Amino acid sequence: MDYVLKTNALCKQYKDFKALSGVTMSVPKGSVYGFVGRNGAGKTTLIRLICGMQFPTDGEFEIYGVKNTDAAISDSRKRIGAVVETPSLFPEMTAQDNLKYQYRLLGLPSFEGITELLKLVGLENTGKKKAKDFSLGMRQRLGIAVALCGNPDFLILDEPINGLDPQGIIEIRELILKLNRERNITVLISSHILDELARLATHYGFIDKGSIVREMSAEDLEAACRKCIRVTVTDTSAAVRALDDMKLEYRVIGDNYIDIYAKPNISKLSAALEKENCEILSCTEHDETLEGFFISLVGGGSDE
Amino acid sequence: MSKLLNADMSRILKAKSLYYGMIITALLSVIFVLLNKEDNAFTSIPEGGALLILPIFIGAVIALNISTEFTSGAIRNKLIIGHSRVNIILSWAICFTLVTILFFAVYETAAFVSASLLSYDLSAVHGDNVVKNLLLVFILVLSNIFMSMLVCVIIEDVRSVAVMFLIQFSLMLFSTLGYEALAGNETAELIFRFFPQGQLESLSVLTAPDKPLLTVVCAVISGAAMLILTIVYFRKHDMK
Repeated sequence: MDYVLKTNALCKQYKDFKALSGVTMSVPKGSVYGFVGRNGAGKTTLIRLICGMQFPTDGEFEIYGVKNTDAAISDSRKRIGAVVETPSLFPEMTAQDNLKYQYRLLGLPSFEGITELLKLVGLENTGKKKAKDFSLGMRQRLGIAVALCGNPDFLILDEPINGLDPQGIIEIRELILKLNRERNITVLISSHILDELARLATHYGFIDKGSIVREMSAEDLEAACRKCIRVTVTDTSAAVRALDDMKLEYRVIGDNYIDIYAKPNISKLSAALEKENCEILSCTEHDETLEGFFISLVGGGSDE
Repeated sequence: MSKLLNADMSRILKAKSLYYGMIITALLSVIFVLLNKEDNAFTSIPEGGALLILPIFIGAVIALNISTEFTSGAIRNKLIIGHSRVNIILSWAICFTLVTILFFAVYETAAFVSASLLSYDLSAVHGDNVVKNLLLVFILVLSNIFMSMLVCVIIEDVRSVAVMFLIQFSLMLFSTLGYEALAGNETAELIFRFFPQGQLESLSVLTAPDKPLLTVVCAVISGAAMLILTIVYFRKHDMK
């Protein structure tokens, strides 16, 4: 698998506070990577390091295979577009002037793509309205348009839906999906609004207290969160034979735990297991949301 | 670097603060000429006035522009798309050098034109001395912009405008009070050559400047030191 971004034991220390402690993660090419963590978990710090706004105290990362210590990292960064925390806009400028400024920074020869970009983010009719008079959603979309100048392959969005109204959230979601599907842009999106991420992400990275606690694909997460019956058995291999005979869909999740994705006849299941000399120690219904899964990973306590 | 310069220059030239600053500078220059009309004392307007006013107004323009880049997040965009931190500083240095030339030209033009229009007696003013003095004034004011840049890069937001005013006024007070108190002290005289306000009492368009090369060397050292400090600080600085 090709990776756009790889980090290896990345650390960031601010005086006596360790914001990142050995973050190792990989963002696959073409994915929408949901970067999940509580406030203060280290999401924005990691994004700042990747974007070159801050320097790691230890560890390294690669963007398109180029290490952060390599001089060519500047060229790799040219393939990135990012909105870090708040959109980077000049409030006194119009949407078009903000894009023109970015075009100049990138050294693009003409302003031809600006109309298309404004149309893409739905700001083609803003005319002479200054960015300071835009709604939060409009500013967020303009920030994404600025990040898209120069056709980047990798878009980093830090909490893009924070503070948006439901309509704004839908607009941003549709825009991200459009960029990923139609332009094949890899998107790293950090958020603590899990329901929204669940509608977008193809891969997830869960971060807590500066460390990645788990990385997984959306399929794996879906499987982990699927409604099932979780049984605890004395002999897993015997149980597997019995479940195969009964043609039930299942997944072994631990030494003695099996998730069964159906509504089996418990009496029949019990009889089949008994035939294989396997006992059921417990049987519970299991139904988890992304939120529940996240809490089970990082614990329910607050960092505050 | 050329991309940065193009973007920075086009933005700074569109900033209203630049034109307001230049208009106020020109008005102050004309007011000085008007106020001194009775005594026909043109001397100290082209050099003393410039050393007093230009560092403040140019500093304010620098502070407003750089703080806008930090607060709007534009500086993040520069870094994200791969511009080096050294190039960002150098691009600012070039842009604000141009701003200094503009302010200097506006102030001096306003001073000489208004003096001519108000029929000042300029017979005592000799071209040779005027050129030498104004060149010194320009170099001193130019060296001062790098201190403004350092302050703005450290403070990062619009508070840098207030800090700029405080620093420039403090330098002015220090120089005015110190010039009298430390008259004849060679070390003090040398220190006063490092910043524009230090030459408030020394330069006059009516006379040839004293040790102009030494003043140029001191001003250049001061400007270069501030520029190097700005680059060193910004290169290692973690940004939000």
